[in-house]
Amino acid sequence: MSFEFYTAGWQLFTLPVLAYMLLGTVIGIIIGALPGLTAMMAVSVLVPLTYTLSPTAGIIMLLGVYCGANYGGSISATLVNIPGTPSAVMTTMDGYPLGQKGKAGLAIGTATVASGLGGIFSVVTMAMFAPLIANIALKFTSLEIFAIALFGVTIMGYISPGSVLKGLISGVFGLLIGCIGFDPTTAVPRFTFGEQNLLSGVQFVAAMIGLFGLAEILLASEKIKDLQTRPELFKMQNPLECLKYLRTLWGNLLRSSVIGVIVGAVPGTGGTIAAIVGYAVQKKVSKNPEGMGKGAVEGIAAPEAANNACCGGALTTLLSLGIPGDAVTAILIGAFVLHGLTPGPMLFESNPDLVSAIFIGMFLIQMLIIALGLNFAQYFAKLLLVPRPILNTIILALCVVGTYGVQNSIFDIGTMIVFAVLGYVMAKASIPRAPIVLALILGPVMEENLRRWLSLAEGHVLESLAGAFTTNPIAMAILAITALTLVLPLFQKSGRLNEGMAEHIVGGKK
Amino acid sequence: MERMSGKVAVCGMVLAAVALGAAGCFLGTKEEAKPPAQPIVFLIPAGPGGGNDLTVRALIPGMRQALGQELIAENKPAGKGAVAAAEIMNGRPEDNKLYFNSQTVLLMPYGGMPDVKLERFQPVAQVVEDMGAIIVRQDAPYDTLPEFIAAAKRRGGKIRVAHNGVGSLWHLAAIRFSQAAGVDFKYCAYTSGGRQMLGALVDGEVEVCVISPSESKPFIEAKKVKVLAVMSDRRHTVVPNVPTCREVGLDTVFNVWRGVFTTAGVSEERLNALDAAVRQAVATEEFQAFARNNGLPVKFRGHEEFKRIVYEQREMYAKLFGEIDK
Repeated sequence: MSFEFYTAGWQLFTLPVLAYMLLGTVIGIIIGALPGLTAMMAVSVLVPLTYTLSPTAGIIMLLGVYCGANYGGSISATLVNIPGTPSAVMTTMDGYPLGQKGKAGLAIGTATVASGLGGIFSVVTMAMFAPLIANIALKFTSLEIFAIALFGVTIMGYISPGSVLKGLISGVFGLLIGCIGFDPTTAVPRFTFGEQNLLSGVQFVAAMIGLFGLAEILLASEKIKDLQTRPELFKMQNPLECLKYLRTLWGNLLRSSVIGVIVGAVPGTGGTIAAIVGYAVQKKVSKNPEGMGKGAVEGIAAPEAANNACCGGALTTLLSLGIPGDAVTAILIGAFVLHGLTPGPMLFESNPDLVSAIFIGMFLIQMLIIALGLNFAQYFAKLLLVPRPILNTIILALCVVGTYGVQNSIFDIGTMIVFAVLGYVMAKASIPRAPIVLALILGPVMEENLRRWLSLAEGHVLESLAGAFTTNPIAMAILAITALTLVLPLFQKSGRLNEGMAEHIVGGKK
Repeated sequence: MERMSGKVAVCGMVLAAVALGAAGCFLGTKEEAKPPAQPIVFLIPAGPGGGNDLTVRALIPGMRQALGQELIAENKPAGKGAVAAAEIMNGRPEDNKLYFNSQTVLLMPYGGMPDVKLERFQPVAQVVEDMGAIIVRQDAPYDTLPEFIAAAKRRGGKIRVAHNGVGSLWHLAAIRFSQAAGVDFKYCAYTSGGRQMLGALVDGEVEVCVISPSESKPFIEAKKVKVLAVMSDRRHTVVPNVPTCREVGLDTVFNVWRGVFTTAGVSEERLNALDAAVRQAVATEEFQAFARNNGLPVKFRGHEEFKRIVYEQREMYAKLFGEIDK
């Protein structure tokens, strides 16, 4: 990729685009800081509202929300010991104890700088690798795309926090919902019960807003009570104190960022896993492992760098393969589609300036996070004191308007409400909701490509598969990895990562 | 003082969030508001950004001027366009709703939407006349249509062709071509549409696409694909150097029209006014420039001629589908 490619996006950065980028990042940090409001929810509610913006402004704003929210979660994690977003779960481990020592400024400063640097690292990796991967992906046939989607679906049961079984229940349910609508190869309607609104399947954005937007409000309105806080701790002195520690953190930050990018790039995994792995690895290599969990700066830097680096990783997969790297990027697909764009390798050919603008925008967003975080974290923290009924009302209105706006459809509002009830029940049964999102996106992709490949094989499936070892080595490698992912856990007593994760999350939520 | 500015900052941020929401609501619902003059709702059976959407949005300023009436574009992609079609079919003529589509409206009954009845639509005017074209990869070992047909026959076995869903536009175009050329096709569905079909052509999963040069414009310009011939009685503006099938000795035509419809039963007077408004909008310099930039071949036809063509084509499709089923 030439230098011109990377700079081409600059011309799209008009004043309004910059303003929306700032707005998105601020909204993201606010949403992230408020417990219960997640990046997933914010992005799903805001996707339809970007319809009236230019594609660049809309997408960059949503990226701001995405990255901002991933960072913002650390604020409430530190101050009230509640991860503002799930990906901040590991930040509570050391952030909160440090805050209790009266060093909330140091904790949040560290989280800010680590988030920003992790993010910047991921943007640079993305800018380097996404065009290369996209170039290879342009030659992907149905078999490769099927293999990647299958891998994403397989991994999703294992990576969801807590029970593998519950993760799989959620994922399989999502796959079933994904079957609704026209059959991809024969145009026969399935499971529509004569409802013409279901011919093209369940409207994805409506389902997401229900699962993550409205459902969260239902959950939150059950327990309206003001947070138990000690306002004196909200005074953040010397966030810049963290710069003194920076010298000792470089290796940590680099390692955690690499972990974040890789975890993010794998379809099906997201910021929460990245943070957990980042923290776990840091604990292994730490010179002072006993100190972690008691307010160690390194214990804040590792998960925060990892969860923000995850954004760039997930976006790399989305842009270069058209397959979401995590649940939020799955929702971002909706934003692309709304503007008539299809994320994937063709985007590099058809809209290179937009791709370039995304790289530049992501970079600027990370800078913004550092600037906003270091200067205004204490004001964001004050939002924790805004009464929840007011917030919930605003979000409720956005959920309904946003759902209707996607395709001017009242039916979709009904879809949204059905999924909200579903999301509520799932949350009550502690079944993770993220696998549904991924399955809903990956399921149809998987089916369509598998069916097409089978039809091209014309009945000679085994011969074609054997032939694929030479003609489609990438697909076969991915299928082999998928098979290993399925088989290996059978030989272990229990998924090590999973067990550790569940323990951390249960501990973190206390 | 610092406490004060803190509060102000927090309020500012909350306000910004609310304002954004409000702006969204406003922009989102503006289209549904009904001022006294009762605007015409122009239904687009597809999401924003596609060819149909852009064409309608380019038509609206000219029609607004001609009719002296507000027109509002409304995207209704739900149910693969079935929802928008039902809104026209089940509406009353005085609802003043317009609808834009290609022959997809004729094909819907064959593609799993048996309820779509052409008799419930009143053709208003044709706007675009596009066509199918035989498109292969840039590095394919043939440069003309006869070479391609000869190579296909020589090879034996089936040539893999992409289409955009069973019973859809480019599926029919491919069938038409295969019948005329006597080439056996293996049909593969790429239901996301033109981009996906052409992507499959570029990565070699299929060997040929029968699709419009307008939809392939970015691929043609990027020199990823080449057009062997167009299935029409005239050449296409995007590839003026490419011959028609007839010019190279193959008698087959697959024209694709796009045009404006309303609900059947509309008064003659109203129909004439709408017809004239579309004519005027198509003639504007702005619309012509839009069509040039997007490689869209403009062809205006008034409602009588347009209706005749639509019904003629329906007969042809019925015959084609009859033959497929055999």
